[in-house]
Amino acid sequence: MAVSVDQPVLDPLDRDAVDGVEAAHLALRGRRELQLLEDPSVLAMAQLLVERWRDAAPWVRAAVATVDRFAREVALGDLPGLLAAGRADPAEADRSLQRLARRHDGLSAGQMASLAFGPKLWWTVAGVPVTWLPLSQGDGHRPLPSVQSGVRLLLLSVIGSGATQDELRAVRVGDAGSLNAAGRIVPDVQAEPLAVAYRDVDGEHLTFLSYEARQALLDLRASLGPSGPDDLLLPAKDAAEASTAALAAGSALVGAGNDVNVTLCRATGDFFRAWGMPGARFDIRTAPAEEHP
Amino acid sequence: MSSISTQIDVAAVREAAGSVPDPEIRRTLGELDLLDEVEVVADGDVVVRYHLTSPLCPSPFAIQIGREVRRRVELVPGVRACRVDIHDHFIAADISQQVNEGDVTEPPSWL
Repeated sequence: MAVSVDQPVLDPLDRDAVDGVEAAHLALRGRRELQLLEDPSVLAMAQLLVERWRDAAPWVRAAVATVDRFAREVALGDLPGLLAAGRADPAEADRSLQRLARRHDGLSAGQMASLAFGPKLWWTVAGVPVTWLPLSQGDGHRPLPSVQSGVRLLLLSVIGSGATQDELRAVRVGDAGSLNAAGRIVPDVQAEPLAVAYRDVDGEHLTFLSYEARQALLDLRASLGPSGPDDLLLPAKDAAEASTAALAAGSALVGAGNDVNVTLCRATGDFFRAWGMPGARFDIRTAPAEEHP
Repeated sequence: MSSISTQIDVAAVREAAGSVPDPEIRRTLGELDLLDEVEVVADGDVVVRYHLTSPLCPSPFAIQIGREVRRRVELVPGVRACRVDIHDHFIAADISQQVNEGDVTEPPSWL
């Protein structure tokens, strides 16, 4: 049975659309995956990211790169053929994702979520619905010990999402979910990947929370009980305290990372001070012949 | 020589130079114990010598740090010009040249 195709239409006379195409190509400039944009379904996915994401380039690279892998490993090099099969039989979309999951059996849930990110978005934007739930129930859920779920949510949500704490604190339950083919949120906090809509002075943007941030959100919502679409994802009464704790934890993490950085730099420096600068001991007369034919 | 030392507060120069943070990790030269020597070489002229945690430290960081040392030290009362020398770096001469050329009157964007 054919399904309706509700995908963004590329109009070359539309300035924004053309800008989106150019931006998608720029995001992949110099990368092998660039050639995948010749496929209209992949271009449409990239275009959606460019148009709705505030800083789209990393998302375009992640989505297209994972579709590229999916095209080789699951579509066996025939992405248009797989799309046609999915349009004729929508269940093929979920079956293809299961084939991807079986191929990578043993990965953690978070790793699997990363691999499935592009394929899920690609199927969706192409108008073929897929299940936006984790493909794996592996060991991806590793809560930070002794850190409240609200703090974890704030800490993890800012990583990679491109949104600030203040922007994320204003997100409501109904602003989080899966996407439909037109790139609109379908409210569902269980969705994976979990898209959220947030606002800044330029208007509304979309982003995805990481798998770990989604897990923190689910833990938090479970502790809060039933909620409505207008409820804040992180209730205001908890948000200020969580924000303070998240900032402190974030500073501590950055400080620990800096300590490691300094220690490694000093150790590396001490080594080269003792050994000599790179290349200082290289003598072409004693080097193996095959290294300088 | 005694007239020079009364015009420039060496401790203030050391404090100014030591207050410059590493652009990456945001800790200061003073905190990281990377400031080696402050020398008043002539009336109003100062030389600051420093090193970095690694002789392979990326040169953009090394140059940014050195130029900010110059800028801060030249704000110390009595200092007319500051020359900054990095040592123990595999391209120390090139870095020192770039650190000491041109003006350093504007605060850098990375601060």
